[in-house]
Amino acid sequence: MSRQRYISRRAVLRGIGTAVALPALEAMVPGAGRAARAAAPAGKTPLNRMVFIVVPNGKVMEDWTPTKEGADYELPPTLAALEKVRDEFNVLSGLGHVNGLALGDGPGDHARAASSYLTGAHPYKTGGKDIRVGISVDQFAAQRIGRATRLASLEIGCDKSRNSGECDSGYSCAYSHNISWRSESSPMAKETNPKLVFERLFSGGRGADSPEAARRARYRKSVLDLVSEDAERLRGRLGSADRRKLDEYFTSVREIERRIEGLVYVADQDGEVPLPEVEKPAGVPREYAEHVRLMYDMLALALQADVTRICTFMVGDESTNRQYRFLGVPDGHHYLSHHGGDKAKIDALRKINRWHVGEFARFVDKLRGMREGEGSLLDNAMIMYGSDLADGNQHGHLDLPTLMVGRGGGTIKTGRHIRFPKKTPMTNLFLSMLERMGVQADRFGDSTGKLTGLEG
Amino acid sequence: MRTGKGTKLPTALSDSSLASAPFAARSSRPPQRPSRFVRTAALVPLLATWGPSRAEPPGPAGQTPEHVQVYQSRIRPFLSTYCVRCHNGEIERGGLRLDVYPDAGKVAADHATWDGVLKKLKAGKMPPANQKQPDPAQRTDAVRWIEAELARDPCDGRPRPGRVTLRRLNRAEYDNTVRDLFGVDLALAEDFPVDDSGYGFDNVGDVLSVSPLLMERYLAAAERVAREVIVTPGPLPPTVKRVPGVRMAGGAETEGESGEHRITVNGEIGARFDFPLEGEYTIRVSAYGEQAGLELPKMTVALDSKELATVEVKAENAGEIHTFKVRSGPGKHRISTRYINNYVDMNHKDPKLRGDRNLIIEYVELESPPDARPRPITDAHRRVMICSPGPDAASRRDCARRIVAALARRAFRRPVGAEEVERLAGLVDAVVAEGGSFEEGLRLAIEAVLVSPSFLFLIESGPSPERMEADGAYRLTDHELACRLSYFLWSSMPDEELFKLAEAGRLGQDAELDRQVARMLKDPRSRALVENFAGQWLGLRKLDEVSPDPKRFPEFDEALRKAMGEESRRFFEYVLRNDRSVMEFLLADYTFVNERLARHYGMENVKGAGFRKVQAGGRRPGGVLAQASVLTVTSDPTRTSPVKRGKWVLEQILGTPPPPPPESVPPLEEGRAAELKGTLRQRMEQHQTRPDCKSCHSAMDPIGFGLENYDAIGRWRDREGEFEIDSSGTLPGDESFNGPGELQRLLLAKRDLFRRCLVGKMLTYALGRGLEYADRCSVEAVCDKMKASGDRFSVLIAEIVKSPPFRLRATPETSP
Repeated sequence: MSRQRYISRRAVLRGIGTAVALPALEAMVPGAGRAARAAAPAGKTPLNRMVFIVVPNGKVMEDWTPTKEGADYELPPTLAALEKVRDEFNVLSGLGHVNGLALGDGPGDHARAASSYLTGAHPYKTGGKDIRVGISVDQFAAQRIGRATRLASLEIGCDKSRNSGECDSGYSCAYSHNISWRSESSPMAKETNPKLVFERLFSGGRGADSPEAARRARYRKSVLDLVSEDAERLRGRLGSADRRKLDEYFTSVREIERRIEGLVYVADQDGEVPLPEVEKPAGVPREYAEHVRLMYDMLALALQADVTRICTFMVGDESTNRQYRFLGVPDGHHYLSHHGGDKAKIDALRKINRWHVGEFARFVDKLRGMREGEGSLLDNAMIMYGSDLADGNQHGHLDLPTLMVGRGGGTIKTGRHIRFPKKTPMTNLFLSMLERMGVQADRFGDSTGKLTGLEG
Repeated sequence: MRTGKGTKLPTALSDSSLASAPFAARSSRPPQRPSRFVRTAALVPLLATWGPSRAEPPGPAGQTPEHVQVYQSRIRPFLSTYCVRCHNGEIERGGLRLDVYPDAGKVAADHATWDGVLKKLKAGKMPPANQKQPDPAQRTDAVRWIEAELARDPCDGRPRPGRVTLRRLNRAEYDNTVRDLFGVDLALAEDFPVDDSGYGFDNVGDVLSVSPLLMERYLAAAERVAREVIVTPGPLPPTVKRVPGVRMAGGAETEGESGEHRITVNGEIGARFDFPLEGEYTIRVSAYGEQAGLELPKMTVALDSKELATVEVKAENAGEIHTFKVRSGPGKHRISTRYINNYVDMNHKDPKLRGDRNLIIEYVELESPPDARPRPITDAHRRVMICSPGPDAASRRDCARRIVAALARRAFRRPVGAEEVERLAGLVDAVVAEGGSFEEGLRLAIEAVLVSPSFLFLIESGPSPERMEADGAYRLTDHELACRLSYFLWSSMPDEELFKLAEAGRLGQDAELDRQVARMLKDPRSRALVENFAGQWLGLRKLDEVSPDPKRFPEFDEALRKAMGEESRRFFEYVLRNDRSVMEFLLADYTFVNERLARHYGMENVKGAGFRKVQAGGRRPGGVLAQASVLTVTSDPTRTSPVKRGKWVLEQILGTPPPPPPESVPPLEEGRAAELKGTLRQRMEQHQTRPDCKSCHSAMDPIGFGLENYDAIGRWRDREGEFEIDSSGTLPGDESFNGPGELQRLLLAKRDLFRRCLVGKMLTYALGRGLEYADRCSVEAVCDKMKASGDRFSVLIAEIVKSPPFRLRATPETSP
């Protein structure tokens, strides 16, 4: 009885479409989205996914970087938990962000680390006015191929910090609390409540073709039409900074209109996926460990049900001072990361790093078990995992600790430690990832060319 | 103001930005980024210059016609020739534009940018070597002119109000506005993504963005509000509740696989449902079988102990729906499914009869009858429904327009046009035309109102001729001013009195503003100023997130956490409501405690959970620095942090933030310190040898050391382990103190600094933007008034409200 059964995507949603928060928003206008959906995989866009997972405050690098290169490297202590899935990923060394460095801007390395991580851009040092960094690679892709799935992208995290003020030496908190940027001045807010993530992923799965749902969808559409018009009228009367703000509003309204019109979801999809084994979470768990696990589950679910192919996950906000008491670590993470060579602190950091990698390993193992075509979901995925700082003690921005899980549609040979020349821009990797997602770009951030060596 | 993307940003008012030369010098590498300019302007007085100093502007002042003319005849051409090629709207190298300064006046308004330009020119860093170079005389000419321009005192009486970026409501404002608009407190913003903050506060327009995620939440919240507020007539449609098989429990041996539930031996599973009322219910069971043997799987469905029917399950692979009707009264009832004919025979001689028969339940669903019970009309409903639609279409249409017009005026916080009303009311018409009820239509109109940019944003219109003031500034409309007032003091929409005054055009008068400030501060809604201003200024919001090590601080529990925050909020509120001197934040002879907190402080004779005002004095006087909240949020989980506390006082109390630490030096190298002995203070002092660290730490650390009698959760202590605490110290300028009480008194003596700091923070919060160079005049003006009136809290608020940046707006940039 342990054989795994596969059923249609439609059934997936019947099974788990429990409470629905936004009943009509994602309701289908029957038939409308099938063409769009069907066109995606059949057209230029290959089936592939890009996921970025970041853990704050850097790593103890000597415990992270393998000594040997190539396939027969030995897993260093921090990565030990990945032994079981070592054929599924590569360790990438040598990639980094020059734009995370001060470049004359003084302190604020955590804010720069988070904001440069996926943008490859140097954030403008400000507490608010003229906030600016660059579009992030996930959003760059989402804006070009996001229409293939119901959600163009998914942004999740675990910290909903209410830190007031400037989070890091004169940088607005927006820089350390977001890695995903829709434009150079608009971060993509992340969802931290697993229950709400679940509802976003699966609302509208049931009863979506009822006349009532269709009516709600129409109503919503008419509300959105009306307010777009309001915004349009307003726009002409505003100055340029104000207009930028209103444009954020516009884009968001349009994104939701698209979902109503373009609908997409399960409607009669015949692709086969195994039933997710996840129940709708009740809310934000009290324990961080449980929270992290649930968010990984939600992420797995999103990929499995193909609700989106582009995700970012901030396992913690940059420079968080979280305590890992369940690991026997009473001090704050950020405090520890400035260990100054203190052995006790370094040991505590090792524990934290190992625990994080362990959780990630579970996630990878789970994805590996998800069948897709002849192989596993990981054949068609690129999951970057790491930190936006190298050594937290020194605030390193070069040689960031980076794993790349998945075979990117059969274009990546896994199971290796690849060392790139020092100071290779991380954005070269992004450029290569974009290409594998079917997004053509000549440059991204400070890239100097595509990264070679992934294919083996 | 200027247009380029970002080249300025004094994060704090800086009296002597030019005096902070040591740091400017340290960071003199050629940068490509505008932030370099910013730094110099944003740098704050070095601690060495600590003191109530208002640096005199260097060089000559005044703007003669000649000076203005030189800009046109020589400086602007200079810029065009040597700078604008890269620094224009299209290229904007380094985020800097120099093509947007048509006249000299614009230059002074953009102090920080030009300060940066000046430094580059003087140092010969710009134009870059590979570009056309001015001859030295030209360069000197330009440098002299900019120096003279920047040296002019901005406080020449001309208003330079700055421009607040269009800002959306933040989470607190959203909830409060919905509350005041409809009289329902739903706290819907809890599900919104967190608001980013800047300049210390989360109401800064520049960083409050609207993501698709937030837009989704706005829509969901609007629908929820509309449902809560408007009661629809007639029966409620049937509700359907579904429980997936996997969530059903029972005595059968089962094997849950994902959403469904497999019953592999005879037995039953079930789930409890809520039956809301008496009536005929429909139960649907979706099931299929793994077929084996001669029979189909049989399933008996029961409600509580009553069997409804037994059916054969023919479907394989995917569920087939079986429907049952049953009458029931209200209450919790259990619906169960029983598998009654299990079959397993893997070794039967007839291969056709080999197999394992199982029953798989996908889900059970309950559909209630329509609910015809009358629903009570709520106050919120009545408040919106200012008329009842008659039976005929004309009266319905008319009523819809009246309701929508009244609602939109309040929701959009301004007069609404007939055409706007027409479009919103059109939604009601459309729903009614489709056969929906008037109330359903109204719900839709409410949804549209609540996701409209006019509701979600605090919109301030452009200039109009009758509101122009001198020099590119114009007055806000009375409605806009009403909003600034209400969102400043209440974090919510204006009330009827403010609306009426605005409509009568009377709000702009000084006397009226004074009256309104007094009235609004008395109103309970001004508690928002405590929650949102004090919550961020004093860091009270962080209390929710701190988590002192339970091994070292077992006393720290939720009750204490709450009590700590409450003390500070009560204290702030007391000063606000009783119009006390703001200097009491530094030193007072009272505080607020309940039994739990009193025990923490070692006070006796305070009983019960309620808070009361008590005398404070002796070694622990009243004031924010003696409050456990502040002391805890500035500590690490395992120990105090004198550096954090010192830095906090410099930033939040004195407004003289320390310069940032030198690059690439960890904040505290405790690796070596760990081997040292003594109190934390002794260890810190022993290892702190680097001169470039010492210069700043000598300003931060003594303050922190002075507070060392308070442990990491703000409890008094005389010893740290085996060592005695030394809480004496000397501040720069040779002012020495012994213990936290004396430190508080010493800080009180720096009241000018504190006043300016508080005014700056309050003005930032009031405006929702970072302060700029020109704002220093308004800050000083408010300070002067406060000083003259005993530093009363109401004067702080009233003078901010009457200041140019609060009442005026700069004309929008003319972007090419």
